[in-house]
Amino acid sequence: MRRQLALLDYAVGALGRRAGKSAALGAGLAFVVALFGAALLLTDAIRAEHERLVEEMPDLTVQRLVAGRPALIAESFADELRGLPAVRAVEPRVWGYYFFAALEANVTIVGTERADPALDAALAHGRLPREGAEVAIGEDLADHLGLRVGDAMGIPLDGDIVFSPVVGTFGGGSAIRSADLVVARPAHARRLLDVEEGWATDLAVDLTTEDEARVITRRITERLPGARVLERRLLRRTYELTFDARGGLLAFLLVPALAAFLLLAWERLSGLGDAERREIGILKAIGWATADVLAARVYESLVLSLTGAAVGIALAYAYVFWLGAPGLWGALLGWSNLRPALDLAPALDPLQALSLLGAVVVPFVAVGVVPAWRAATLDPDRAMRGAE
Amino acid sequence: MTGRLRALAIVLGLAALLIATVLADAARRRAARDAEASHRLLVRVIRLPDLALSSSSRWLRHPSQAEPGAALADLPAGLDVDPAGALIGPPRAVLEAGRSR
Amino acid sequence: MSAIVAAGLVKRYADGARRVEAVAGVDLEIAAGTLVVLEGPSGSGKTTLLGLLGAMIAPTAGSVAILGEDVTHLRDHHRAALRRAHVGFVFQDLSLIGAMRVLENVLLPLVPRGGARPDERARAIALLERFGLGGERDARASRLSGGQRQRAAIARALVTAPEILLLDEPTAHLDGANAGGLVDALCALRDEGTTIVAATHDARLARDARVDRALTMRDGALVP
Ligand SMILES: Nc1ncnc2c1ncn2[C@@H]1O[C@H](COP(=O)(O)OP(=O)(O)OP(=O)(O)O)[C@@H](O)[C@H]1O
Ligand SMILES: [Mg+2]
Repeated sequence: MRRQLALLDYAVGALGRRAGKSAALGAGLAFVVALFGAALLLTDAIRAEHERLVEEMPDLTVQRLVAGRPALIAESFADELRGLPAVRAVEPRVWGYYFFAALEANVTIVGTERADPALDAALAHGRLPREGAEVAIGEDLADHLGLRVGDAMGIPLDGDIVFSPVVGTFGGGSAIRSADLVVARPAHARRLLDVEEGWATDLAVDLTTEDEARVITRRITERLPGARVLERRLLRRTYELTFDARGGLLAFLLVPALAAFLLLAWERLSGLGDAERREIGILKAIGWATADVLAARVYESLVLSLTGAAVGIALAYAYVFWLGAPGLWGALLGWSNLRPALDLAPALDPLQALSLLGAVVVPFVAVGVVPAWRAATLDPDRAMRGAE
Repeated sequence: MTGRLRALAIVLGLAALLIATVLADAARRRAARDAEASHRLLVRVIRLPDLALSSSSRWLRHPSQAEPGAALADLPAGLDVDPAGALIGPPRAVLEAGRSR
Repeated sequence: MSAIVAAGLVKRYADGARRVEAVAGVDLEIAAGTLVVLEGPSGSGKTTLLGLLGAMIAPTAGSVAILGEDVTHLRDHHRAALRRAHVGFVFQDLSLIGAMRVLENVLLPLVPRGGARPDERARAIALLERFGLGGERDARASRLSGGQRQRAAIARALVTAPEILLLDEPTAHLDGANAGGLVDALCALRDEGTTIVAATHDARLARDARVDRALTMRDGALVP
């Protein structure tokens, strides 16, 4: 212990003696960790947000495919499904995209019967639509259109304009899901989306137990060839795969950072300066064992990378969750015109922070040890003469 | 303990404090989000799982519901022209669910 | 008893196609508590022989025993431990770490042992004072003059209280008067029981009356 402390003390001294280089290395590391960390924190938070409410989803979502594209599904099919064992409820849903030319954006129109006043707490202002052409819309959409509760929203339809009274707006905590929503009574939604009575976008099926999902899925596809059934299990997995498989643009943004990191690593790997090599030779010559030299070197890298990584993680966190990831968030939203502000709960927990630290520190230390090991295993006199 | 080690202890302590602050803030935000009812209620109303991250393309807006082949008609698994299309890959599990039937 | 016994020592360097026999068959026995001077022209292999005697360099052939222990086939960390315990080495280029303070330099060999205990620290300070560096102990090593560095390097070699002290060109950076003072200091150490081998091409040092034994080296071998 005393020996380790003495070596640690030496290592800190060595860092201090090369203060400029150490600072540059630590700052570079912090910067790279911050860049990668920001992307990681953001995608993790998105995944966690999706994950968080997935249990509210129907056990099964039944779509009908025609020529590989989803087509409307007959409501009568819902009755057929209700007869299946383990099926608790089947709800034909009417929802879809509406391209809003004025916004150059798709909004999502959702028809719902639900108007229970208890659910009105879902809104930031007003209430859910109860009758006729009433709609409740996302706050971002309302802002874009300059609408407030009590105004009428003009929706172009067949060369005409349908005026829908806005009775409520969604917002606050739910903006990330509600930014582009138009919630209407089913009949109104049918009209806007041109879905005839007797047809639905899809069927939401609730089961008595989720374990039956596979069996029921098979029964459904037997009865309706061309049906596509999404199990909740799959919904859950969608976002696990998304943002994982191809970080295309993100990765592209991070190429310079990656290059910087490799440069750092290379600097560590190859770049024992003459001064450092000489120092190792001296230490060996005055009786330090190879293990002592390496331990000192490990402490050096450890101190540097721990502080660098901690600062980097904190920077990434502050950038994403305090500043709202300017730049990164915008890139993620792409060409969208409706842009909800970044309002996500961080998924970062101690375990993840620890593994993130480890992912930085371990390779950094390892990479720093290699050249020191090469220098330290030379005959001391050779190391001192500067011979390779 | 030498002055150097004391300085090191302070630096590492500050680093730990930084991480602890971040973790505490993260936990606080998570708790605040879970406590907030409006979001869950909204999901109960619409019962659609996806986040409103991209309103520029149908395939991107509801990736979990997207029809196979909707990304681009001629190249289902191709990257969209939308930058977000480079980020959000076609949901494979969902694609497979469609393919096996 | 002999402090160092070397038998049939050979050290060959392969420098590309050129092969150099830096030490070409040396048999040598150095009695404990003596001051030995190893003289020879530049390139005659003095530094190499000193390195072999101090278990710093592994010989190509032959054997070395230090304080009765054969070190020829010891592994690296055993050799390091042995050097740390028994041998102090002053290098031709002095090998101080310029950016470190003088006292830190002197205490450096103690770090792998857990750093300087208070008595060791006091000893290091006493050594610096003994070599006239009491006022320079907090100066950076790179700021010292050649002669001061020489003495600081000797102080560092002595901080572990080694039985054997090996010096390579100890007078290289000193003028005549200072060189004489150095010999005084070495004699005092010898009288305290330290075995000392100093390699030099300075004939004055070899001819000093207080030196117990003077060896001459030519082309890697000792001249009888
Ligand atoms: N690591 C090495 N690789 C190749 N050749 C070496 C090496 N070390 C020493 N030599 C060669 O061995 C010979 C003896 O070198 P050494 O340093 O022992 O001489 P020296 O007597 O100490 O000389 P000087 O008085 O100049 O210090 C020289 O020819 C030198 O070039
Ligand atoms: Mg020499």
